[in-house]
Parts: sequence; structure tokens; C-alpha cells
Amino acid sequence: MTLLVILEHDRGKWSEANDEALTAARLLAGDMGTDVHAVLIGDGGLDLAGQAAAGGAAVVHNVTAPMLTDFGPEAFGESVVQLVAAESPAAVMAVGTSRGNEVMAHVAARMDLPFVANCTTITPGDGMWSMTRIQWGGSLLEDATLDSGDGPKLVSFGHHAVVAEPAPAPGAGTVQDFSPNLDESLARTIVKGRDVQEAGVTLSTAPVVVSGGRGVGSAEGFEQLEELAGLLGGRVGCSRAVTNLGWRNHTDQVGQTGTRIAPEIYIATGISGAIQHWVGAMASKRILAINTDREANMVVKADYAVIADLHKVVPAITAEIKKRKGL
Amino acid sequence: MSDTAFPTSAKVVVIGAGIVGNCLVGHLARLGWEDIVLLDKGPLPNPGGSTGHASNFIFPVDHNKEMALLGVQSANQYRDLNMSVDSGGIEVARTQERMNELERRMTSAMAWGVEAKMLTPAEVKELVPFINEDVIMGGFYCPTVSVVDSLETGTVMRKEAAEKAGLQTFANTEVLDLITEDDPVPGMSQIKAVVTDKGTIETEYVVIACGVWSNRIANMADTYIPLVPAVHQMADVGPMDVLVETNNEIGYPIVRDMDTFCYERQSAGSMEVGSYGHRAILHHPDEIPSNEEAALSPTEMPFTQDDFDPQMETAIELMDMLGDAEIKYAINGLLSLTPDAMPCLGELPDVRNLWSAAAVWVKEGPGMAQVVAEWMTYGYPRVIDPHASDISRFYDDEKSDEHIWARADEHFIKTYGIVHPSEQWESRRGLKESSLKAQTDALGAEYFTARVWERPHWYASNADLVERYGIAEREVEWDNRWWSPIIDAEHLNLRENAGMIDLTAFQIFDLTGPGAVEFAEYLSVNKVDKPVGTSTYTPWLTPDGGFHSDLTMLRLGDDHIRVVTGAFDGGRDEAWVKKYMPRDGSVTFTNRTEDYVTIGLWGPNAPAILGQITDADLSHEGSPYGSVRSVMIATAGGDVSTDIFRISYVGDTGWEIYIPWADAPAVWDAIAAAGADHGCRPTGAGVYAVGGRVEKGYRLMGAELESEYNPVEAGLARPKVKAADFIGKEAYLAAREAGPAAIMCTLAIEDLHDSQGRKRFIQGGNAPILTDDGERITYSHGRVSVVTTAGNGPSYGKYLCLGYLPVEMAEIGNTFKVMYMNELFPATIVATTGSAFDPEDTRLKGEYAFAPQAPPTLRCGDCSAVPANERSTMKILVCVKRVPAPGAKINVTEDGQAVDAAHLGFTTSPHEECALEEAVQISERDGGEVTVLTLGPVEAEEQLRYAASVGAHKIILVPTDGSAWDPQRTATALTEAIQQAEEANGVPFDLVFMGNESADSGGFQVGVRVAHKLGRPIVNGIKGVVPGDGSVTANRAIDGGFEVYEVPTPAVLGILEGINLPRYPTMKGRLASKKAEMNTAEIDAAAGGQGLVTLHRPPEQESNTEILGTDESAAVAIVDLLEEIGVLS
Repeated sequence: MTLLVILEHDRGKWSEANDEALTAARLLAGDMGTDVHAVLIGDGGLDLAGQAAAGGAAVVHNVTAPMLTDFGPEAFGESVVQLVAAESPAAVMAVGTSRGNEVMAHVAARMDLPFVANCTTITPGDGMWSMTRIQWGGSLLEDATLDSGDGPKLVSFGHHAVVAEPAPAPGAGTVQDFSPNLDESLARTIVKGRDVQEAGVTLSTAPVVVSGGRGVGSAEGFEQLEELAGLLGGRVGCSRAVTNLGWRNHTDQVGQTGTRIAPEIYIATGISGAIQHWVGAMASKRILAINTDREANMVVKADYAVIADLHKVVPAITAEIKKRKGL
Repeated sequence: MSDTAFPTSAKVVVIGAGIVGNCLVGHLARLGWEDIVLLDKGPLPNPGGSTGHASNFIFPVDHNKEMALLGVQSANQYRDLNMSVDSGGIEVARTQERMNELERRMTSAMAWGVEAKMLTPAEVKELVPFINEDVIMGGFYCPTVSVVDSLETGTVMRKEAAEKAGLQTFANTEVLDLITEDDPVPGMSQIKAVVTDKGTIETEYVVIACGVWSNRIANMADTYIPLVPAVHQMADVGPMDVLVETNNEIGYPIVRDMDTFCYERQSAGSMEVGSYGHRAILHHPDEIPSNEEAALSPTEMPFTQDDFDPQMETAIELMDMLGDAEIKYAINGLLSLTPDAMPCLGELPDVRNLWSAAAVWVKEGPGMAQVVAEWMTYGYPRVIDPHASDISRFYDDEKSDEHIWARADEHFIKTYGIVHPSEQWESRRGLKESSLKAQTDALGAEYFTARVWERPHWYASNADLVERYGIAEREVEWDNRWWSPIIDAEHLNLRENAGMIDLTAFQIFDLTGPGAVEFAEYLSVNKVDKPVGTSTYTPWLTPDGGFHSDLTMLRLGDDHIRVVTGAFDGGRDEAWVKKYMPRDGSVTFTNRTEDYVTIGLWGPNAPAILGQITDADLSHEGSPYGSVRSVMIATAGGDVSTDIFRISYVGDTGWEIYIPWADAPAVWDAIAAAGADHGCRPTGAGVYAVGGRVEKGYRLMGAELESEYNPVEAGLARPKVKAADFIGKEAYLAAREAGPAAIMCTLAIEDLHDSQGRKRFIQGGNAPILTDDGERITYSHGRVSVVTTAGNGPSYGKYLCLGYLPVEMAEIGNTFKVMYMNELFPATIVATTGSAFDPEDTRLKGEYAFAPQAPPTLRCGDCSAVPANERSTMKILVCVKRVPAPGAKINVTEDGQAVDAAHLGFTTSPHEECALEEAVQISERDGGEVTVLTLGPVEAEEQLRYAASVGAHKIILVPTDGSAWDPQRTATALTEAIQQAEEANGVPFDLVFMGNESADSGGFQVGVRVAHKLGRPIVNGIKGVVPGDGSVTANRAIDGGFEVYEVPTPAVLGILEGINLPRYPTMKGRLASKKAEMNTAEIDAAAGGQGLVTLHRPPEQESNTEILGTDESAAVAIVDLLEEIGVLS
């Protein structure tokens, strides 16, 4: 019996979500009493086999085909389907990143099997599995069941729902090549090109995010946040209210329908902390809220807070940083 | 915000930090109060009550004196705090009836000294260029209409209270209970403490100022504040260039289009359109969501579009530009309604030291807060007499949900209505009826209400008297309304023969016990401690020496005083008695109102009539004026013991006869039988309450008698002041010393004809009394001369008005102008404090020398109208899902199967809203047709119509049973629906847009499944779409940029929010969406392999937030933290 875990990479670059995936896979496989088989798809995957092994994979399936030069959801999905046909795993899982869920959805669609996405815990069983999964981006939990009949169980774990841990011991990591037979038509959804708008630190990878909500008051009001974020090598984020007001671009929006962030510290200024926003911020390692309302949701949930007007506090922080840096 | 520990005691706790609570603490501080605590269960500065979404404008003109003066006073308070801008305001008229009402507004404006002007339609257009002057007949313009910042005002007042009096404020603190302790007076208790979720505060006073929640809080103390939360709809429409160009929060005057129940108020670049025209939408306080449950705030409830649509149409008629602008924000805003549309202020009559400051609008907020603060400080307010707002005015029958709902339902639509001063209620009639009802019904009584009591106003059976006395109908319909010529006829008959009057509505209280007389003395100006069998007509004064009550007290025994007061004042007077009663058990209060019926019998023949049914000595020796006697009256069923009180409020000799309730019908019949030969007729309150007394200059509490006047001015001061102490004695003595500033006079209207030659009859009070040159007359403390009572004096022969004039002008013969409906009528003083008619009171003395004299109112979201563009035949389908619109918290239903949407509105899932916008933009740019499909409960039609209002051309519903369908089942059904639609179209959809994932269940797979079943390509995470020829370029968002896909069509794309900023519907779009044809596809599919067990909330984490500081000096600690973490590179 095997558990296939689909790992993610961007043309050979290891996705940090893989560490979570392998951690979750080890736990699940342990409960199932099976081995962990990692799946790397497309060009550049082979180079990552060693890391997969370090993460506990007994076998690494290196899935390649002429078409698989870059990501393509249909092609990836079909590849997994064929691998499943060959290996007959008991279950296939991924971490619920954008790509992870998408590929799993394609697998599920092609096999006409149920797929339970974004689980936080999974309890395997002989016939039916039970699990707890995320709704509303994490503000609500659903206890669910999965019955796949004779087919494999298809699941994903919520991104950041499982904390990545190093494997207690590496797996054998035996590489097995697999070449799916992909119809030409599947190429229609392969990435054609990339438009890199900014290099360097992005909102989702920034070590520091300084966000503003409606309390900032205007688009110009964000200048002070930009200055602070810049000094800390971070990025500016915002709430959905701010985006809807047209003060910031949607790319800056932190939230369930925006970007999920996981910085070392999230500084939320003038943000009340509606659940929509909270789920985008909750993976932050630390949260500092600056707000005049002591009882705001954001303040209550934060690790640190300053109960004062952000228009006074933010410039004060900037000044203090400059002072210490001798600027 | 307070940093101190939660207090365990206070002098006064104010509950509710809306405009009233905030201003109240400021005023208390100004009056020297300390140790004040302010609580609110919501956050600051906007706790989520009605203040937070108020329209914030003040139209100072009101026909009601209290509301008008407090409105002006409040507007000035806002100005003093620099929280106000004079925007000006115009009430426009679309009908002649409204034009008449505007003339009435001009008159009230003159009364209260508010600058105002009538405008022609062209003049209105000069001030408001975007108005359509063709639909209006004119406007009433007030340049001092102002717009205020109620939230900031609240903050400033709190700050003042904090600085002056050390106010402590605790937001996010919920009151859980009020602790009271029994008071020695039965039925009363006293407030002791407030229990909150942060602790209990022992306190001497508590004020409830929490708007829509006030009754819920009052219930905690086993008392009742009669109000109901009700909806007032408002929509923010815009932006519109002409408004944006003003570069101002408000550059144009506010327009009230009262004939269509709307107002339009500029709010920066947008127009706020408010409506009072829909059905009264009332809510139980328990239906109001908490701050966390609410999507916006507890008093901003989801908008019900259907109720607003008629107003939208008429608003567009008036201002065409509203039609093409987007509706950005619309709510059903909650405000408080009371049974009689007046606020609830004052000490709760049954709980000492518990005060109410509820059902107050922003426009009177500061003023009413001052009223309550002064009331608490001085024992009665100084700024104005709040008798119509006094919470003790309500009778028990008015304190039920049933009553409030029915009355609020009836008067809500009159908010912008034209209400006649004598207008009667339709709902909730017959609450209190006399035992004489059957008789008065048989006589054709036309009943008016005196609060909860039904009281005959005139009798149809007297119609023959109209011809006898030659009384004409009044010429103008408004003057004829709620009036009948029968009233004048009954009046003349009483003065010629006799009239019998049903006065059951009198409120009768007995004070008994060893302390009763002493206590009665303490309440009264005039001496009560007189021989048994005598009476005292007396005011009860406020501590400042103004009128609180005006009534009679009968000494029925050594320790027995009977108080008789009017139906409109029973509640206030009872509360006053119970407030001041000694608590040592020496006085007992008993309400005898329903133990006795009072029948009044007056007129030249009254003694003869009564003499036929009783053996008692009715002469002036045996029954002198002011005496009360116990006499037996013979009836068909035997003798009945009654008390007869020789007194007269109509100016003719006679008695008030007090009869045990059950015996009253027999006595009525006996009087009627005896009176038949003496021309006695049943006579209504039209005579008793107005006609009779206006001829005699008899004052009425609430009209001539208010706390701003003292007995000297009212002409009620007696030669000597009694030695015993009484409430207000010191002030009264000072007033006697100082002399009156004004005198109550009777004026006769010399010429009733208006400028059109029609005879007018002044209705209601508050008609301004002006100098002959038409100037307002004001005197000490900003008081103004207005008519307090107006009515015909049929016996006197002229139409009469009572009113106060400054002492130097108050001389018989002086001439003035009285303004009515914006016209001036000449008037002359015919009496000062005395009577115009029979000034020697000969009739009262029983001397009848003369016969009666001749007898003296998506940029274009138009669904059906815009056909699919001819340029391209592209067809786009958008799948949307109806999801709840949550706030800060999500609750689950009890069975754990769904989100508890009780307090939530619904919306389209965010990604799909953007997908829809994208589709509409494409169709507008390149041509094509947009179809929107949803699978959901039947209520999901709401989302489809919304889609239509922003540009969708076709809408399809696949109805479920309401339960959540798993992804496989959903995908199968959607696929079939799409295929059906494609078959109907004859072509596949070039593009199908799905949301990337739904906001609620977030399964991330329905779109993929549907695409696969359709055999089409799909890419998710799309934030850019460019349709090409046979393909579509789709940009998928990745960290830091985009992946570019080129996908052959027909294709499916999973769209992400952020691809665009969805438009709001325009008014036209909304209207058109209602007519859009919705197709329903009855499709089902088998359940898939994912099953729902239960929903639950993640475990609440303990909040252990470390507060680093409360001002900018915390920056040091913050940077220390950043250094520690290692991000300070």
C-alpha cells in the first residue's frame, strides 16, 4: 500500500510547501501503515529527489514527458492519473497550495472520484476516511467523511495547516522514472510564458509585512507604511476594505481572497481584523496590532499591541529605527 | 478608553455611547457631576448604534415646540463645538397639499425664529441645479439646515467629561443585568448596581441611552421603555461629477422630497438617498446582531431592495442624474420608534434613579442630553419643558410590544407626512373605554383618544342643533378636518340649556394615611389642608417654580385626598406623586381611575336637572363652588351613592359627578331622562377641552401651562402664599417678587379672511403672535409669543387664541397679527388672565342674565433594455454562488449543518463577483452576451438579480433543497445546466468563468470538474483575461508576477478577486433587474463521495496580547522587539 504525495517545484526550484507535504505524508502514511511515495513532475524534478528522500520518501516517482517542460494543470493531472493506474496507491495527497489543489482537482475530475481539499487532520480508515477541513479560509472547520469506493482517497492538507518538521530518519528515496502518455491536446494549458513584475521579496515571502486598514484614511496615508516597510526589508499589505476603496492594488491585499502571508512579524495598523482578513494573516509568526480600539478583533488575536493612533505611532517607529541605524 | 481597572462603584453609570450618551456625560460634567462611568457593548468611536449611520442633518423647523426648540438648540451646540456646517435645506412640494404644508412650515419657522423662505421652482433650481423643476411646485428653504459630525461630537463631549469630571469610559463592555432593590412604595424599586461582563458597578444613578437596545436594558430592571427598532433605508449613490466638483463634504443644500418620502443629501461625491416611504419594517431587539455577528454594524442591516424601489423611481424623477450612478452602499438602518413618535426621557416611573434617554435623533441629541442632565440635577429641566417626551407619560396599555408595533407601524409613514394637529390614531383603539360606552355609542359619539382612553368629541345625535344654531362648515378642508359644526352647536346648547359630558378619562388618585395631607401640601402651591368636603384647584410646581401639573385635589376625609387630573397627564402626575411620596408608610397611593366614572353636568339648567334626581341641597349654600359632597342619585335601578363636586371648566354652573364604575350607566340614563325637558344634550370634549375654556381663558397643562411659565405669568397666583413648604416655593416667591415677564392673554381674531378671501380657522397651537408690523415677539430667556390654544368662542362670537405676551404689551385693546399658514390675521387682546366671556363669572355663580348671542388638513446595468451588442456574438457564462456576508465572527446553527445566517446578509462569493464584472466588461468592450448561472436555494435569485443589475443579460437558477451539495454533485448539475443553456443558444459558451474557489466551503474543484465534463480546458488563479480569435490569453497570478496561458476556446477559467474592481449597480440597473426573466432549470444529481458531518468553530485562543504601550512612546519597545526578532538588519 502506498501513499502518493505530489510535490511542487517551479522548474527545479523546491517549494517550501513540500516540507509541509512530506511532514503530513509521513504522519498520514504512519496512520495508514504505508510507505510514502513522493511524486515530482516535469523538468527539473529529478534534482530534487534527494530532498524528497530526506523528507522521508521511500520512493520518488520522477514523472517526465516531452510536454512537461513547465506547469500545466491538465497535463500534470493526467500524468498523476496514469501513475495512479500504474501504482494503485491507497491515497494521493498534496498540500493545498494553488497548484496543489488544482492538480488534485484535475486528478479527481479525470477519475471521477471525490477529493477533499484543505484538511487539517485526517483519520484514515478501512473503507471511509474522516477528516477535519477548513471552511471560510480557516475561520470555520468542517468534519467530513470521504468514501471513494474502490478508488484511491484524494486529499489535500491546508497550506500552513501542518507545521513542517524534519524527518526523524530519511527514506530510501529510490527513484523510479515514469513517462505518461500525454495527448497533444493537453498542451493547451501549459504555461506559455512568464511576466515577472517584480523580483525579490513579494508579499507572500516577505519577512515583515506592514499593513494598513481603513484607519489609514487615504491612499497617501500609506506612504508612512511604505517607509517603515522599506526600512525593514518588508512589504506593505492592506485589508479588503482598502482595496475596495481603490487606495491600494489587490496584489497588496492580505486575506482569504487575497494573499496569505507568513512573515516573521506582521504589523497591522488600523485594521479591525474581520475574519476574511484574519485568515490571510494568521500564519504570521508574530503579530503586532496598532489600533485605538483595544477590543478590535486584530488586537485581541495579536501577540503584541499598541493602543494608539497609527498616524502617531508609525512615524515614531520609523524615527526610532532611523535613530538606531544612525540614519 | 480607560486604562484603569474596572470600577466597582460610581455615582452615575450611563449605558450607551451614541450621540445621546456621549452628550449626556458632557452635560453632566458641566453641571458638576463627578464619578461618571460610560459603558457601551460596542467599540469606540462607533459602537454600531444608530448614531454611526445617521444621516447627520438637522432641519430645525418642526411644528412641535419641544422638537423644534431642542432641534435649534442642538444645532447650536454642534456649532459651538465646530462640528457643524450649514448646508441649507429645501423641502420641495410636488402637490398643492404639500405647498399648503410648506406655508405651515413657514409659520412654524417664524414661531421658532428659524430663517426661512418660500422658493419658486426656478429658485429651487438655482440652488440645486440638478433638480428637475418640472415635477415640483415650489420649495421651503432653510439656510440654517446643518450637517453635523455626530461621532466626533460624541468623542469631544466624552473628552470634556473626562477632563472636567474624570469620566471613565469602557467600550466593548456589555451590560448583563441591572440590580434593583425594592422601594417602600408598592410597585417601585430603586436601581442599585449595573452588572457587566467585566464586573459589577454599584451606582446611585443609571441612565439608559442605548437607542434600539434601550428596552432590552430596561427589562433587566423589570421596567419598560416603549420603543421598537425600525428600519430607515438609505442608499449611497455615486459618484456624480457635479457633486465631486464641489470638492466638499456637502456643497449643495439637502433636499427633502417629502411627497415621495425621500431626502437627498450630498455626501462628498455621492448622494445619500434616504427613504421613509416603505412599509414600517420593525425588528425585535433580539433580532439585532451583535457587533461580531453583523456584517457592517448591528444597526446597519442588509438592504431589502424591494422596499426601496418605489423611492428610487421617484428620486430619479426629481434628480435624473441619480439614475446612472452606482449604488455603492445601501442599508436598512435601524432607528428607534415610540408609540407616539416622541422620545422617552426622564426617570423611569417605577424604578428610582433609573433614567431613560432613548428614542432620540441626532438632530436633538445634544439638546435632549442636556434636558436629561438638567432633569437629574435640578429635578426638572431648565432648557425646555419635556412634557411630551416624558417617559412617565405612558399608560400600561402603551407599554406592550403589541401596542408599540401597531402604532409605530401606523406613524412611520407619517415621518414625512402631512399630519393634522388633531389627527387621530387608527390602530389600537378601544384600549380603555368607559362603562358608558354603550350609551355614548348609541348617541353617535365620535371618539377621539386621550392617550389610551376613548372620549366622545362630539355626538352625531346632535346634528339637528347645527341647523338650529346656524353653524356653517368651514371653507377650507384642512380647517374642517377632525372638526364638526356639531361642536359649536353643542357649545351653544350647553350655554343655553345644559350639556352632560363623559369625563371618564379623568385620572383619579387617592392619597390616604396619616401623612397624606401633609404630603399633598408639599406637592401643591395652594392650601390643601382645608375642611373636609372642600377642594383645591392648584398647580404642582417644579423645583424651579414652573408648572409641572395643574389639577384639583378634593379633601374627602381627614386623611384622604383625592387628586383629579386630565387623561393626558395621568402618567406624569402619578410618577411625580410616587417620586416625592414619603417612604415611611404614612402615605398610601391608590389609583381609582377605573373605580369611578365622572359625568359633568353644566349649563343654566344643570341645577334643575340634577335637582330632579337627588334630594341633596344643590344651592350655593348647600353645594358651594369648590365643594365636594356625597349625595344619593335616584336611578331606574335604585339609589346610587355619588360625590358631586361643584366646579366648572366650561364656565357655566354645574358639577363633576363621581360615580362608581358599574353604576355610571344608570346615572347617565337618569340625568338624560331628567334633562330631556331641559334641553340637555350629551356634549363632547370638543366643547369641554377647547370651546368652553378658550372663552373663559382657562389654562390647560401642556398648552398654557408649562415649566417655563410660573403661576404669576399664567394668572394663577393667589393673593397670599401659604406658610407650608412645597416644591418650588422658593422659586415661586422669587417670581412673585420679580413680577411676571409675560402675561397670559386672550386674543380675538378680528378678520378670519385670508389673502384669497377664504375664512381660515387657526388649527393647533404655536401660531406666532406678531406685532402689527409682522415682527416676532420675544422676551426674557428667549421665549417667544405663540398661540397656545386656538378655538372658536361661539358664545363670545369670535375666534379666540390664548397666548403669553410680554408684560409691556399685555393690555386689553392692543392689536397684533397672528400668523397661520403663512398669512397674517389681525387680532386684539380681549382679556388678560381673566375671561373674555362672562368676565364676572356670573354663570358660574348661577346668574343667567342674557340669552346666548348669535354664534360667535457595470456602468450600464440595464438588463432587459440593452440587447446583446451586435459587434460580437461572444457568449460568456458566469457561475456564481450565494454565500453569507460575515463580519468578525461566524456562528454555526444549532444542528451544526450550516452557518447561522440569521443576522447576515448574503452576497455573491467574492471571486465570482469579479468574474461577473470581467464578463460584463468584456461584453461592453467587445460585444457579446453574459449569462449568469447559480446553483443554490431559491433565495439565490437575489444574487441573480444583482448580477442582472450590473450587466448580466440572462439569468438561470438551478434550485437546490437548501442544503449544501458536495462538489461532485454540484459539478454534475452545473454541467447539465450549462449544456441545456448551450442547446437553447445553439452554440457553446466561448468562455465559462468560475470563481477560483467559493468563499465558504472552498473545495477548489467544482470548476475543474465542470470543465472536464464539458471537455474543455481550464486554468485557475486567473487575474487577467484577453479574449482572442478562437482562444483566450489568461494571466495566472503567481508570486511576483504572472504566468501567461493561451487557451483555445471554448474554455473555462477560474477567476480570482483582484482582476478588477466590481462596479456597484446603478438605480436604473436595479429597476431593470426586477423585470429580467429568470430561467429555472430543475436539475438534480447523485451525491458524491464527500459527506458533511458537522461544522464547528476552531477553538478560541486565549487572548494574551502583550500591550506594549498606549502612545507613540511605545515605538521604543516595538523596535526592541524587531531587533530581537532579527528583522532590523
